[in-house]
Amino acid sequence: MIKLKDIEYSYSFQKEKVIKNISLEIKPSEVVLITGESGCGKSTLAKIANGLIPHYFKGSLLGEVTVCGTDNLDSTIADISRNIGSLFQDPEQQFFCNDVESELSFAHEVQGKKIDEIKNSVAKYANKFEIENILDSSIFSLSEGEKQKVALASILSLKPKCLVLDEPTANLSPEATEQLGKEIAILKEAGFAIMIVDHRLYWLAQIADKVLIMKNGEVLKSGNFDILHNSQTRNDFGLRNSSLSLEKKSNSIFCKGLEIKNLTFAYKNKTAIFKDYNINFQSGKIIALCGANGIGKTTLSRLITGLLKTKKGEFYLDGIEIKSKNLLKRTSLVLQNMDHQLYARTVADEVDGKLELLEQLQLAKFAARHPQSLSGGQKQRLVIAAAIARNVDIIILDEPTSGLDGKNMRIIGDVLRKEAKRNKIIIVITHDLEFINKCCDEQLTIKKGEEV
Amino acid sequence: MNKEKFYWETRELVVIGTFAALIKIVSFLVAITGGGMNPIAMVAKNIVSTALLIILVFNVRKFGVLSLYVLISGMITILTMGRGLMLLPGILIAGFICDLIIKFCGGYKSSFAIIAGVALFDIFYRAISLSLGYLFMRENPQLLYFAGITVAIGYIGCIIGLFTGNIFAKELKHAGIIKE
Amino acid sequence: MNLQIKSGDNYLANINTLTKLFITLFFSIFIVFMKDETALIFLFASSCLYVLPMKKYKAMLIGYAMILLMFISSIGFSYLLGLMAKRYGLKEDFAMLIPFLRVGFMINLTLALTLSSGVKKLVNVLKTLKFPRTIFLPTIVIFRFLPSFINDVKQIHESIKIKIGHFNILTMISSPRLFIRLMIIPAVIRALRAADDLSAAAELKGISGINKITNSNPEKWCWKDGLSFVILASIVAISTVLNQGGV
Repeated sequence: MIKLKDIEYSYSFQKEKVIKNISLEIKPSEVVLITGESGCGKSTLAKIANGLIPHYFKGSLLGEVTVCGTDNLDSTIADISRNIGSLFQDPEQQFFCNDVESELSFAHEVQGKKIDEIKNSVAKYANKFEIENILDSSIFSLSEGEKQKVALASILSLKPKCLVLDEPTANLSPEATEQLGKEIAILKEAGFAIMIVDHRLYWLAQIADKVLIMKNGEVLKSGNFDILHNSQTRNDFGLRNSSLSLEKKSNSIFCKGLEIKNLTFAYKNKTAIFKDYNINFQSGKIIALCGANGIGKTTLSRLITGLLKTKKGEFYLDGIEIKSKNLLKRTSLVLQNMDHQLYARTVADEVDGKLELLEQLQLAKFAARHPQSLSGGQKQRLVIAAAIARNVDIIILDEPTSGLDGKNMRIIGDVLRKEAKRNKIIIVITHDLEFINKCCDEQLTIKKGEEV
Repeated sequence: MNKEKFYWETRELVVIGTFAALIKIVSFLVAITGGGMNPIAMVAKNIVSTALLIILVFNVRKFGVLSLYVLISGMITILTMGRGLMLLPGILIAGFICDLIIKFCGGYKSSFAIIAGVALFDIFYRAISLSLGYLFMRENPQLLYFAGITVAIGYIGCIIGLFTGNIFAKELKHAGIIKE
Repeated sequence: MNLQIKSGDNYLANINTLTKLFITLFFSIFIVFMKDETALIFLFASSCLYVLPMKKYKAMLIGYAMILLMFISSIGFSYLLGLMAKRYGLKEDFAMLIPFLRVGFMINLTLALTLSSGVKKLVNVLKTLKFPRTIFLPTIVIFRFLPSFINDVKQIHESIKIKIGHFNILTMISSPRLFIRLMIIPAVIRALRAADDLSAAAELKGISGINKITNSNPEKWCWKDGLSFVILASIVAISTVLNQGGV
């Protein structure tokens, strides 16, 4: 169904080939996982399969790409998209309309289908993915899991025979990841040829039929999922774990750090998220802050940073009370969207010239580059470096490892460990179970109506 | 198989739409943040809007970009506010003339031509808006003098915006966001 | 975050968006030719009756406050001119109010259109009118881009606060370079990245191959639209008569 033969590709703005001599075939009812370090070319391969290369991203493409027997070069993206559906890391990026119902209808409207046909399709796929109750909702108000469902429903309603998923679990909670795994297993049963590009591996153990490991634009290792169980292979290629052991983190008795007492907060005209809430964060530790979506993790981070004003509550740092308005000077918050947090002309300026920090995060060779010219993984490390460079007492990171490979995840873990050893309070809001297992010392879970 | 070719690529149309929205919202936010109708806010608003227009033309270097931008921007005003129908033909012609100027002053690869084209467009746009303003305010010419002075102060912002936009464009090229 | 303009549950929301758009566009031209104060007062009063049942008093108050501000500025400016040259001095007749009646009338119509038509309905208008891809695509992009961009601006603002501790109008005035670097450049970069994402999404939805689009959710015409046109015609007739000299 998806066939790539002797593929070589370079982007129009650089000479170096990003894909070198790759051949690959994905048959019906087959799931192929492509993994490798950030920047190894796996997302480029996905773009070649779905036709974005060379129809949207120009460059030099050699070799033959066929989807359902038709050569991609002889087709338009519109035609290719009828056979192959694509799901990105952040589904919001691929939405073209503002509400769910319009999003589900849009691709059909573009194809000039009849009104009844479009309405039936929307109803059928909304029912299949259990999203009827959110049809009128704005796409901006959906949870990540709901966005993923809407994107999948929208793609599948066009009845493609193949699917390309590019890091589909990067923003998902463990529960939503499990749900996605189940949906993909059903599609595989139904005869879809599926290409999955991902860093997170464990969720595909029962689904992937074939695994390709890439490095520097080449496939250097391939086989069934078992090749990923080899720790040497994972280390060599900077991969994440192939399975997940759920360790229960034991929390130490609080003696020094950030104490929050009687915290009360509610958004305007909404019920209180926190009411007389108490929570402590031990200094010298990396603390994972967990909890279901919408439970208030991000709100709590904004309250600790002083970006949101509490209705009531006291903050004590090492036993001394600090006023809410002074919190901002003592805290760094790394948000999920990196583009918003990079301002300087060069990478070195972004960390106020603290080159040793760049060294630790393996960014020193990019010191003279513009921050916005870095790849996603590099930017992720840079915003963390910039937060550390402020030399504050509390560092809060909101999902710092989404979309990161195993190697970069370990680099970030090591840097945070060093900061923790300097008696800083490190709070990591995360769904990344692997990161929690490997790098965090304690885990605090916010639960509805309960204290930690 | 549909192989119809269009003059405008999808990306170019999306960039024009995005910038039409960006210019409207950023100008509005700057004006509001700056306290509305005061000279500093007016100059700041015009610096930003002209600079963004320069970046748009650097990004979509194709004949007709100004005309299409004007059309889309006008369309959105008509659709959301039911206004601007009388202004649209005039500024559409102004956009087209400035596209011609860019084309014949060195083309869309020349920074000078782009800056000159946008500078003239800003003048035409303001002149046409003022003429239309006259129709609304003709019974109270003092208001028109007031508007004239406001527009003149705003144009100082446009001139600064031309150079600011050029500096922005250079930085975006350095960041690899605008391709040479 | 839901930043869409939602159509309220009011009588105007049940009128076809095309009808409201036509009314607003028609009057935006018609009003220019009206110069008699009685005709303008009649039009302004009619527009108040049009918009008042929506009960969007806050939005109306903001609109009128803007007119008042313009009026006060105009008086102040006239006074200043009068100090410099007598012939430009403050007029004391009703003519001074006429431009504000026109602006007030248009504000009422704009509020009625904007607040009673959600984004979905406005996009449907584009589909119904069968605009070519060159116009349809960038216009729909504006509706899609704005809410996410406003969200982006809020996040950029937060990031600046985290980085430098404070950010307000004084920062903008005292350090325009800092303002541009911290606020405008990230906003532009976000916009360009959003444009890239949206165009890739549009391509994958097959938009590159089409020139027309179906509207799967067309608004129905009803008796209220017919009544609206009858009222429109009556108002035009009455105000034309009131305008003494005719249009």
